[in-house]
Amino acid sequence: MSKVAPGHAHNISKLNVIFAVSSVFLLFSTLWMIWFDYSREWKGFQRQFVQMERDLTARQIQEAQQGINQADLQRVQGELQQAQTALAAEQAALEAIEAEIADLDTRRTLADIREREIKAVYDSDKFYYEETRERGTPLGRAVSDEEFAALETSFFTARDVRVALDFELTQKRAELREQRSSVTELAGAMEELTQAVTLARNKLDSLAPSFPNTFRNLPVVDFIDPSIEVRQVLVRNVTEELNFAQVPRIDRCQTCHLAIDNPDYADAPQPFTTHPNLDIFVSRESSHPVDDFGCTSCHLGRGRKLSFSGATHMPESVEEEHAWMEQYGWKEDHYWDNPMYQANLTEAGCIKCHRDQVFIPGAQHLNQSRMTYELSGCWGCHNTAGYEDKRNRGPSLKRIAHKTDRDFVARWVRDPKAFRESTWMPTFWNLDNNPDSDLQARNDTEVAAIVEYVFEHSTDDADYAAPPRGSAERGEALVNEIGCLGCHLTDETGYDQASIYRRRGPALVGTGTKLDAGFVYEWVRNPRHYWEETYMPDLRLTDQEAADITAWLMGLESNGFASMGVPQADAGELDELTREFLRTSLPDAMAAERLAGMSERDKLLFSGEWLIRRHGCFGCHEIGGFEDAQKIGVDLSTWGSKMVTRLDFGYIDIPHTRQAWLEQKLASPRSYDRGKVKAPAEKLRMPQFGFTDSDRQHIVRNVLGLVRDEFPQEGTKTLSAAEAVAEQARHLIHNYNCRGCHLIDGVGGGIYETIEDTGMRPPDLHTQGRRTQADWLYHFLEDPTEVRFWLTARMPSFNFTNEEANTLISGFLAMDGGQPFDDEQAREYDRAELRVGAQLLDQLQCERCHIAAAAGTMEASQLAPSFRLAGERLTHDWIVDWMLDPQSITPGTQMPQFWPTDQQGNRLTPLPDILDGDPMAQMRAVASYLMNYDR
Amino acid sequence: MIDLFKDLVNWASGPTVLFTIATLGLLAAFRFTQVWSKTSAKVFFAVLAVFYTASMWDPDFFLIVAKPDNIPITGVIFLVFFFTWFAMHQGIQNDRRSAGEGEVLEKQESEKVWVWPDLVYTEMLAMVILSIVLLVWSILLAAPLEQPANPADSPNPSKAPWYFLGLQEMLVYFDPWLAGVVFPTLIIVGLMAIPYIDTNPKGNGYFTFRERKAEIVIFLFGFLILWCLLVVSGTFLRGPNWNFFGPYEYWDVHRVEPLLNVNVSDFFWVKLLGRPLPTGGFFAALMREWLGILMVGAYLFVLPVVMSWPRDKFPTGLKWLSCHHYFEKMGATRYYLGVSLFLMMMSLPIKMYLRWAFNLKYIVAFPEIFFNI
Repeated sequence: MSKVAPGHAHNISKLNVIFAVSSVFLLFSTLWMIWFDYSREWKGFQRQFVQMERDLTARQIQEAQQGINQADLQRVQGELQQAQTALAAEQAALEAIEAEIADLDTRRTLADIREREIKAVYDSDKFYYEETRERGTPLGRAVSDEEFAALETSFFTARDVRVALDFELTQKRAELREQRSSVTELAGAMEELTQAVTLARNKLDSLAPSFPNTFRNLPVVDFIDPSIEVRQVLVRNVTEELNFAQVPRIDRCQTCHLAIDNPDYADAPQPFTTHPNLDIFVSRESSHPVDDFGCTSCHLGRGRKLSFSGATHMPESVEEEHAWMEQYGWKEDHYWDNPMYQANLTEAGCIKCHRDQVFIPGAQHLNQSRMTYELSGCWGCHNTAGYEDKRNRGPSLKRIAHKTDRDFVARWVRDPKAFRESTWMPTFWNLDNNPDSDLQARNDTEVAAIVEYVFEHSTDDADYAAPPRGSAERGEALVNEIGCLGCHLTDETGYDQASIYRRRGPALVGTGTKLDAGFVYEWVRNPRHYWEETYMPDLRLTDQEAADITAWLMGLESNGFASMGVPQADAGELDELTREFLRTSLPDAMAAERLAGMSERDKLLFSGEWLIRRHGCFGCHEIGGFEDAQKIGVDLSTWGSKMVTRLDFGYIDIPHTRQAWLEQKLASPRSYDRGKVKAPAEKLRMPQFGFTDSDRQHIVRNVLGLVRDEFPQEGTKTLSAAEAVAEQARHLIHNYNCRGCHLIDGVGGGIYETIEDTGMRPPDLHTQGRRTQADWLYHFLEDPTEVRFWLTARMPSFNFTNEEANTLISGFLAMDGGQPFDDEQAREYDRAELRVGAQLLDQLQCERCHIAAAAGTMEASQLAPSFRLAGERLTHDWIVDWMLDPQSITPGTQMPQFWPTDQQGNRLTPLPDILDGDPMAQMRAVASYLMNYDR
Repeated sequence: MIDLFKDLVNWASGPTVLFTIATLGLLAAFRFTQVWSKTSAKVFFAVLAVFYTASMWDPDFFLIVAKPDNIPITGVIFLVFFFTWFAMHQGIQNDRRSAGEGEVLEKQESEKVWVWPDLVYTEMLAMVILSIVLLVWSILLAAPLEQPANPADSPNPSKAPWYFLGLQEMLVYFDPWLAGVVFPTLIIVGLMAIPYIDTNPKGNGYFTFRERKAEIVIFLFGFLILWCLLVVSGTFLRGPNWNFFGPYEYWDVHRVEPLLNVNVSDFFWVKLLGRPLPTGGFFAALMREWLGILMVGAYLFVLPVVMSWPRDKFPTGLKWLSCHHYFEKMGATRYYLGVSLFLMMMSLPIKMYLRWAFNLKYIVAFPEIFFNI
């Protein structure tokens, strides 16, 4: 206190010191604030990208320089020099003209000014003159006829002077240009030769570090016109929901993903990597340009956020997560409801717009995901938009008694995977919330009750007669040859790696243990006799073939399974179960009374019905008494938008994300019951599907894609008329599993993995719509006739309805731009042309491969359909297309390209003597001849 | 040992215990004024700081206290304690001096000083230093931008800004129209009315406790217990579903607390008379609620009159209720205004204890017209 001067409350010099120190701190904290605001993650990426652009441009300059034809350049340079020398000789004359032009230009400028001065007065006076003439009462001032005429004259005179000068000037300039034309042209040619280099140089210059480039990006001044700036797209069509309003997306992803649309960066490290699929996405020419769709429409994530974590990038694996933590300081940002799909699930984003399409061309993973979802039958219990009209996933149980016996069904229901590892049928017992260790007797009783009910509601008329004897050996060969493997597996090892199309039907293992021989014989001969809705086709087996196949199938025993105990009802547990169900609507005493009056069978049937209702068996199987039952699961149509806070993670310690919850749910469906106290009716009911990792990922991908997003009409995919027709056909193709044998849209050919010899594979249906005549295809679908005699696989008879066949044909036509009505049969042919065609066919030796029956030692891949069918089967135009480039239609075909193209794109002919060597005329002649081959 | 301590703290932080301990502690501090000494302040702050620092090792404590949003509340705790102690300490020192020979401390400082530099300079320094604090604070503890508000998915717990958490806590005990409309209005109006109700000239320009005991006790009870304590516990101790969580407990969303609250009408009709509640129409509703209406009416309108009676009219044991001397000192208008506001304030702790003791939901309940007290 001693230093406080009189009259003061404080020691002023001490305050001065405090002031000095705090001012310095304030300065530093202000600078810190500016720096904190200025130094952003994304700016570093942009600087790095400028450097990459410079390196790339430098390389491009080198490449461009190497690309210049030096001989051309030197020649043009020499000519230019000559021309310049020649021009220099006439320098004096040129200068005279230039001087004249300069003088004319000055005079023209003055005349132009004079004209405009007069015009201004003239325009104004015209208004007053009109007023005077029409109204008589001048506004402002009156203009007489004479005055106006005089003014008009002077204006036209002045304009004349200017026009004359303009004309003269144009002439002189043309003259000068003419004199210099040779030099100008040569200089232009020079420029053209070096254009690529010049452009790249200019770009490099603009990227080089310079004062303006540095200054504009400095802190504080960078608000004016920085080159390092946020890059965003505003997406109006695919909107986001915000408080019940649809607002445009703002995606700033390109602030860091700077080369996303630049194919030069395909191998660059992230975030500079080019989009892997520019043909479909991002680029202006693609079907999803970034300006219309943005990024988060498909990928999800927080489009406005500029930090790595904040944009909600999601790692694909634990390794990636650790790498990201190290590189970007990644941590999960839970402040966003729809985090980005991890990279391998991105195709989930297609569904929100393409939901109604059964097959999305290009979405390779998603198509398989949706197949997996469908085959798993998720939609049997979980209502899913788009699956409402589907046939039951599993077979009808209304005639089960004919097909197999009670003991098998009881063992099978208890543990389906023990019988057939690859089955889609899930397991309901011995799971997290009903382990056999505690509840074995109850579980067995439940099974017994359900089996009792199912068999009670199965028709029970005469059994099948025993089938004729057959040879299992021949049967096996048949199964391997005739096409069964397009839909069925015969070996379950690594089943999830087999084509999904081959997992449509059940794997053919243990069939002898399961089925009744008489049933099998009748079933393979005509599947629809047993079940009207089955998709299994008729392969036109002879009785002997059917008997052989039956013999083989019945020989496939599963001994381990057959020796498993059959679940039996336990009397005490059955009473307990029955009482539990009775008590849902009756008081204890009445329930006990009712129970006492029930026989064992009554109890089984009563409990069985309740249990089927509880477990939801009718979701996949037709069961008598459950025709109108409601699906028991949660609606999944918009599950991908479900709030994470609405999910019960129970006592499972996993990240709180939709994906993690779903993965856990699929891996161990009832694990969220762990540690909980629940009455039987409250327990989770989803059964264990035993998905392999890859199958699980497929389901996750599909379900995450089922989102609620609604956006304007412009943003959604609307099918064109042709696409809609093709879509209908694709539904049939999907339902009847055509892709099990054929490649369609480049996808499918499940059976190919079982046929090594490419020549023995069922055909690729690329360009099918243009290839065949609609009439022929219709008859072919109705009654498949032989096209390729060497194939052992048979085109099945699907017994399409008239409507289905028509849909398929129109669909193929729509996919490939063919015509429903063609004039192939009415086409008139020129006899001379046909003769030439025959001659060509002969010279090109077409019929060495295109033969009608096996001959010599030809391998299957070298064989080709006989020409006899061509006339009624093929179209003239397609034959020409086929000859133009067989590889583009059927990649890998052995058909030679007889009329190849040279480097400049000119088509060559092997036979220059015929038809003046015109390749197109030659091909047309061949096609015409083939169309008349058998006439 | 540590677990035992944590359990103890968790138990003591429960609304019932914490509120009671805090109220009793405050009253005790007014009774035994020695506790406002410098030494005990140092001890108290040291204990608080050690408790705070040591607790940081507990992950659940750290999770809540270290949230950028919650940092100011820690500041509030220390600052409120400091300024309360400072005022009381000065007041008690002055009281001691004026009781003896000396004069109040403020008298010694009454010389005039210069506006410049003494006042303006220090103000500017305060501005500079505050700017530094705000800048550094906002850089180091950047508040996160969360997702867009989604009416279909409100956060759990949904909390008001920290300074409104006292009001939000009141919502546990009162209907929104009372806790959200009437009480806040009365708080503001009541604070504005203080200078007109409390005309005691003593204490102007200097700290004192003895000369303004009742005023200080009432105000600090309202401010410290009914406001600050509720803000602090609302921030640190109220978790998902507004359930109570001890400072060392994890905020588990799935925790379920039994809620079985009943109304006065249920007590009277169902439990006492064993009859269903009267139903049908306006008069039945009045019948149903007659006891509650009577209780509220008595509390608000009869009690102030009774309290104005002289001491000898009260039976022994209730004599403390008499406020006759205030009635005489203040006059009828001021007295009734002051007592009404005071009773309004006291209705909060009363309702709290009724809830804790009897699971009482409403004294008067008209769910038909959303009018509940």
